Amino acid sequence: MKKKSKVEKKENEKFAAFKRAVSDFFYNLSVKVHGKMPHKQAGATAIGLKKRNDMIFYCLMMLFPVAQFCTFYIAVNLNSVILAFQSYDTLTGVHSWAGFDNFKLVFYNLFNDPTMLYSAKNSLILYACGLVVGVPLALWFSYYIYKKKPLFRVFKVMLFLPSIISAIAMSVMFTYFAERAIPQLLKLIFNKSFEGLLSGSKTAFGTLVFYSIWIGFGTGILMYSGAMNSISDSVVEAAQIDGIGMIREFFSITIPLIYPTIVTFLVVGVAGIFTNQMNLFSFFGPNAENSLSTFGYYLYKNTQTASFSDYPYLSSMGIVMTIVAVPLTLLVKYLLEKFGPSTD
Amino acid sequence: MKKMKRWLGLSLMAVFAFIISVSSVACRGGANGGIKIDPNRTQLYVSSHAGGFGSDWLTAASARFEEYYKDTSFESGKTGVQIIPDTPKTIGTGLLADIKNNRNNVIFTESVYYYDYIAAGAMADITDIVSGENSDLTEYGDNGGNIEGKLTEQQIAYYKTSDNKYYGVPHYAAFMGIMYDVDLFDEKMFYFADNENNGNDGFIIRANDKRSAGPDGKYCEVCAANGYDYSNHVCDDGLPATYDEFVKLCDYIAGAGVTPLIWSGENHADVFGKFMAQLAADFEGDEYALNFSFSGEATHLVDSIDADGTVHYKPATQITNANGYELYSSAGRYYAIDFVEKILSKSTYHHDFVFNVTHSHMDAQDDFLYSKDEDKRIAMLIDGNWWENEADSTFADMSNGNPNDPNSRQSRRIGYMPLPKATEEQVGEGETLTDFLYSMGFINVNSCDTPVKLDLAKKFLKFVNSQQSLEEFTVLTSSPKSLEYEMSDESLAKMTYFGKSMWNTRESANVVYPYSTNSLYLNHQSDFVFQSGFQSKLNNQIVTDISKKINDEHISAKEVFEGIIAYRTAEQWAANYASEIN
Repeated sequence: MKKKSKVEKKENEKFAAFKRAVSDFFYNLSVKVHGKMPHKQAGATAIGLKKRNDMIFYCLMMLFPVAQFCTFYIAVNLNSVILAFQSYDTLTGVHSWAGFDNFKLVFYNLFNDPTMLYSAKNSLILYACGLVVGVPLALWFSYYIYKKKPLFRVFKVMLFLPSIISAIAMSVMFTYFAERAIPQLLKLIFNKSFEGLLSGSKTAFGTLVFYSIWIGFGTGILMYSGAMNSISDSVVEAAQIDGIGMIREFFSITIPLIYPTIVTFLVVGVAGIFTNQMNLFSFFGPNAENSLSTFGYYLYKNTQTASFSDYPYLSSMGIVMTIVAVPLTLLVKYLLEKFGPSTD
Repeated sequence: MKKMKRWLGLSLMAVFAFIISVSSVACRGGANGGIKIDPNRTQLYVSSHAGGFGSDWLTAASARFEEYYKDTSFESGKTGVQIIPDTPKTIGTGLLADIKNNRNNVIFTESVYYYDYIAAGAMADITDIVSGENSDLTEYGDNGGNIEGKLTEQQIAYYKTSDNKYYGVPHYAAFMGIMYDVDLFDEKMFYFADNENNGNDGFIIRANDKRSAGPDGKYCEVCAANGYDYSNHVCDDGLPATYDEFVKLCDYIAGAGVTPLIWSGENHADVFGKFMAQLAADFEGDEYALNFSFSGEATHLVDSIDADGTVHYKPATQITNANGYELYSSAGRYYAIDFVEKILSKSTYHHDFVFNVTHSHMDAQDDFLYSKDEDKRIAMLIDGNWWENEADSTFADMSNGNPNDPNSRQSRRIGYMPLPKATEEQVGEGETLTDFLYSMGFINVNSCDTPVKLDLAKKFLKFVNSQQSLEEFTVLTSSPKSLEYEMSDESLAKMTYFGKSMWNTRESANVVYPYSTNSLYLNHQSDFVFQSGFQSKLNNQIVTDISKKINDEHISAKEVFEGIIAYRTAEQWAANYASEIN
């Protein structure tokens, strides 16, 4: 029994040694394999794959906006630039090179057509009124709301309401107010007939400027009060400990700290000189009197009624306006940033 | 709390689901105008601009077309046709911009720059049904002939391209004018007597007093025989023959406690622009076409105007592209402004809201019609010939939908007043109308992709221009189509008083269309919308709203006219149209 068990033991040992050898072989092989394709390399591959996937995702996400930008901004504007140097023959439907003829006509009309002069004058007056009246009032109301003074929520809603109601609905309501309610009220007071504020030739422009400023209030207040709310409480508290009053706080702390927001509004406003149509189309459609026209309305109205052959002229006018607007906007931005209050 | 949130979430989801399902159902209904697609018939999509002329005519024509082809198969497995109507608001360049995505096969619209549409490849070639091998209208009940045969020479010259092709057919005719309440005129006897010195300032005293001959200069034999019974007879006897008589009539009407005139305050600039164009066309006659063709002899160019309004003419002048600006000094233009100055000379001549921005064209129509039941009646309305169709709901409202009610569209007598003449010498010369809306029917080029649809679309376009369809359109809209055709007695009997008076005027009038194929016109079409030709330089300001300026500042017609000439100089003309002049 013992003998048998000794033999068995020997055989078992041999088998165990063989098993170990095989196992060692595979282990060593595994180590070799793992050594040649170490985990370090596998990690790097995962990162590469992730990067590649991220890039594909990014490209796919950007594909649509980039295509849209290329098509509807670059291509359209490029087409507009090319169009400005062409003329169009309606009968044959052929575009041909016109050199600077369209630009010559634009400059001729700029200096000879009183409508253009009125448009320039009105556009500048509208901007100036917005600058002198609209911006300070919006800042002051925003400050009032920011300081949470009595009824600030009511003011906030009242002033912002015109911005969230549809532009057409607002203009209809305002038209009835200006054309029916006000004359009726004046008649009751003075016992004589009065023309509507929009149809009266002496009151129409002032009413339109008022409406434009009023309707733009909401956005201004939202942006300014938002910027004011981001002012650090510690700065305000420190100033208050130093005994600063509300007015001083407004001019010395609030305005300098929200100055970048004000600059943005003013710069956008400069560009708007050439595009703002003063809500003329909402009130009068294409029939507003020339004396009320702005650059924005002039271009919009003419584009609405244009035939193919009118587009080259309108394109060149758009380019001329851009040539004036771009440096002017950059200049205003530069001056405001250079000479504006410092946050230091 | 959690339960409440869950319930709130579920409720919100239910509300959204409801809204989405309702909207989708509504969209489906709206997409086909509430019509269910019949899978057993071939569909044809037809659009008609949602303007004053409405779409009742399309409904009626569609029904007859469907009936006509009810047993005909246009594609395998289907028999008959189903017209799916659409009534979009978009017109002109807006329509053209998106035409490639427009599913309508046949489109009836207005404000069409015809050659721009052709250049954009928006319209199918329809030469075969207008003048070619498939143009014979006999199959639809006409006694031979084709659509081209119903066009005037001026229309053919414009619509037929240089390679002898047609892409569109004129649609409805649009004329500005003065509508007068015949019931009121009869009741108050607002008619001129033949005897100017009858002791009543020249107006009739009794209904059967002999009346003046009116603008046509001819006494109406029917009127004389029936004692001026205008209950079913349309006639101009007793109506103002000249601008001065019109002003005299306004004075007389105002004196009777009636408001003589109303028009839309919101659209007054547009109304007067088009109305002055109409007055100018009436004065100029065929010469009015020179404003678009720039080719021919002008005999009405003003040399000077005396303080009393006497006009001195230049010798006949040959108009070419080079001197087209000369036409801005045409007498028709001056007299049109003169007429406007006259009717604005007293505030008693018009309604209070005629310059009020809130007063729409439909408000003006309503005020005109409803005034019948009010203390202060209104005698005349300045508007386009589509006004009656546009005011259909007002008539229905006033008559509770009863056609026999005295306030119904069928019962009320409102006439299209033949335009008075600028001078006595012109009385009897006949009226010239200008059709200014550039309306057109055409086949969307998309239809060419489907031969079945193209064939059907051509059949439909031909069908709506058959004699029966033209008459039906005229009866339903009270307005003529822009084609040459007759009206049967049977159809005339179905028309409203206004429709008959409009047709009478149209039938006897000369119609001038405001277009040509002159390159100067075609390459600057938007400049030659005639009403813009009244812009005047006054105090170094270009005034577009002439009527308001005259009303506010009492500027004379002569000043406005001289302002037009000061603005439209040879230098300006040369600068703007250099390429066409050289």
